[in-house]
Amino acid sequence: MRMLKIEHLTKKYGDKTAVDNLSLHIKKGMIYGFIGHNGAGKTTTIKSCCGILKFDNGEIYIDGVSIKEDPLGCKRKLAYIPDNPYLYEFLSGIKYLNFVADIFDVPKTEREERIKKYADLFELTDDLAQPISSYSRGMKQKLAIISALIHDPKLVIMDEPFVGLDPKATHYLKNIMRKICDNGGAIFFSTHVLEVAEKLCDEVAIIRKGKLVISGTMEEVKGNDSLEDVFLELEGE
Amino acid sequence: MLKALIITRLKALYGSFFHSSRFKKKRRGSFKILVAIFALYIIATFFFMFFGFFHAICQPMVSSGFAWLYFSIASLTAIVLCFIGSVFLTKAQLFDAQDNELLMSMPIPPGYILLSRIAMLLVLNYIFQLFILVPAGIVYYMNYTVTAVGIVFFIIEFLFLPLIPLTLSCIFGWLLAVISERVRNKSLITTVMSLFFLAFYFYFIFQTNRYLQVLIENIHLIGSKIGSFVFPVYHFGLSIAEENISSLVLFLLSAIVPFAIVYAVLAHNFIKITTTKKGLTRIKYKEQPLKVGSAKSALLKKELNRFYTSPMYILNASLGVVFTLAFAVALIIYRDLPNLIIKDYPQLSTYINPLLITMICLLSSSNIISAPSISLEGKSIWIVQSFPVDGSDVLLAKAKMHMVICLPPVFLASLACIFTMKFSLVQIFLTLLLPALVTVFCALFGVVINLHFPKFDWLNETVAVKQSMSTGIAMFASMAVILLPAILYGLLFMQAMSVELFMFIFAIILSAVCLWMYRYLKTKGSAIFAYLG
Repeated sequence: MRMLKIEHLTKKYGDKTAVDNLSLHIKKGMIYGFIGHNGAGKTTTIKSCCGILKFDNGEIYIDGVSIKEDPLGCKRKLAYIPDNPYLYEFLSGIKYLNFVADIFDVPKTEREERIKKYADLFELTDDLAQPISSYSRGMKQKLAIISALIHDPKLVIMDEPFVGLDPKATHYLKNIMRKICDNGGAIFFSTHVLEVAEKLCDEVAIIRKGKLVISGTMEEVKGNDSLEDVFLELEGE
Repeated sequence: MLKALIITRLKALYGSFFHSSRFKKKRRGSFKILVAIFALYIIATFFFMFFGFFHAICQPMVSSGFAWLYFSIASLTAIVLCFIGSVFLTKAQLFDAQDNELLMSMPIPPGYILLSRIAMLLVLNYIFQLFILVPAGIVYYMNYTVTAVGIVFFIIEFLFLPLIPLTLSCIFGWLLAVISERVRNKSLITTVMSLFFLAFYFYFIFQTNRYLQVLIENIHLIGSKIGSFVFPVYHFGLSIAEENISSLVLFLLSAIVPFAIVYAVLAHNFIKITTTKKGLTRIKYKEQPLKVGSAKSALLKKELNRFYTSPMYILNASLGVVFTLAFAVALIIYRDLPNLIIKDYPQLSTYINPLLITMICLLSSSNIISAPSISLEGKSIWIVQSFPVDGSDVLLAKAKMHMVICLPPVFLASLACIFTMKFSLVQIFLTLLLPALVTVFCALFGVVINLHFPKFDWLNETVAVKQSMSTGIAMFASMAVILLPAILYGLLFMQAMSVELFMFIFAIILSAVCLWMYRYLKTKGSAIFAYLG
């Protein structure tokens, strides 16, 4: 069963085609890496999957449900972490997390437990009373991650999730990603850190100028080479 | 480099009024026409207000041999109003701009960054000054002979006068930035300080007639005090009235030297001022039970949080709340005032109660809280867009915030009217209905208009609230919705129907418009919002 199905996705900005007839299938239990150079169309694809960007052609299904037909139903199942976590600077960390929990209708006990669990893990508990405006880039990223996990999503879509995180937090995030997949969920994330993708991902797709260059399991894509070699070779074509 | 920085600032200022990404191509012409109409309206209002003021003082002063004092008063008025009008913007532009760190990381001298921002403020001060000095000059020209030298002196001084309020607002803006950095309740302190400035401003405006009288009666005394104590203003007047070149030089020195000193000090310390975080004591989070609420109430709470934590938002978007409360209190304290008006103008007896209702409507319509609320989402708009909530819930939360803040004072003012005046049952009904309906209209209209004229590329939220098309339209259109029917009634329907019947019909039409806007936000508005940004 596929958790995320992208079928012939096309998105244009004026005359420029940002994503061109892209199709990807992300199965349950899978960490799927999405790789490409800057401006390749990764963020456009990700935003389209999250229902915050209108696309011109194609279809996107979240757990079998079309994002076009039931955007709210799809959004209930997923969590999105953008590349630059612009959060509500006027709220404190805890108020923001409680706000997100209210939106996703997370029961009181569960939200308290999850906030404690993840805030402790990312060493953010002591700072939750502080306004977000006083947070560093890394702290904001951690808060965005915690808020994404608060409703126990089935699909987590992340755009460059490791940027700004310290090594410890990066390690914990990788563990969390694996755990979500072990519990039947799926992860779809973009990254430029090819070593991380190589070690972490079950499947990977490389996109270039909006078009899919290659996709498949890590072994299928890289064979005996490193992912970096394959990527550079494909980029050079 | 400096030229590029200044052009960027001026483009940002221009863009804050004219640029709209959604309708950039489609509505460019209509945008400008709309802006031109509003600009004309504002210019005409201020122009005639100051024209009247200077017309009243010109002759008595010049005929008493105090022509210099006339120009000194004009320059003093310009300095005071420019200062009050720009002090908070100066703080925001110089010390709180989001791109300060980015620019400072580039090989740009800090002085250039500062100077480019000051240049933008200078342009704004020129605009403020136009409303005061041009009417003053025209009034003088209409009554007395003007020489070419006098005109040249006037133009030179016009160009340099804004340096004085700019110097003052740079100093005060710096002080405000330092204070707000060091205190915990900085929104409260900034709001209180801003209200103090505003109270002073309105006190000054409302007391204009009294000042005029005092001024004309005490020309000699005031003239000598200004001559002794307000050095630049004294020489400003003297140089124009008597074409005194040494006064011109002294005025120029008194405008340029303090500005240069303040600029040099700020430029020298710019990096330190904008990057030093004094750091408040860190509050350690103590675990406590979390309050659970619905998605809709969470959205409303979020909007209210944004509002109450931003003094700039409070002061620029909800002054009507303060005025409505002041109106209610004034009505209770001076409950005989309407009767005194009727005594002097008995023909108004039929209309005094409807006029009071109209007054509450007008005060409520001056609130524009919902008009910048979508723009204020800025780059964090992805949050609500990626949530499983309908766009209409987000939009209606913004309208509800407006209502939650504005309706209580409106009802208070309505009740003050009902309890202090003799209202008929129909009038009581209208007093409770119409101002509330106007508040609902303004709340919904603000959101609808912001949906069509959003502005997300701001570097400081002041731009979204103070310098955006959406708030400009909301402010004037909301007031027009009250004033135009009132004028229409006075001109066309006065003989045909009672004022109460007219107000009732107006309430029905307004209800229909509100219903339409509500449905629009629920349907098309929601669809537009989903992919905005």
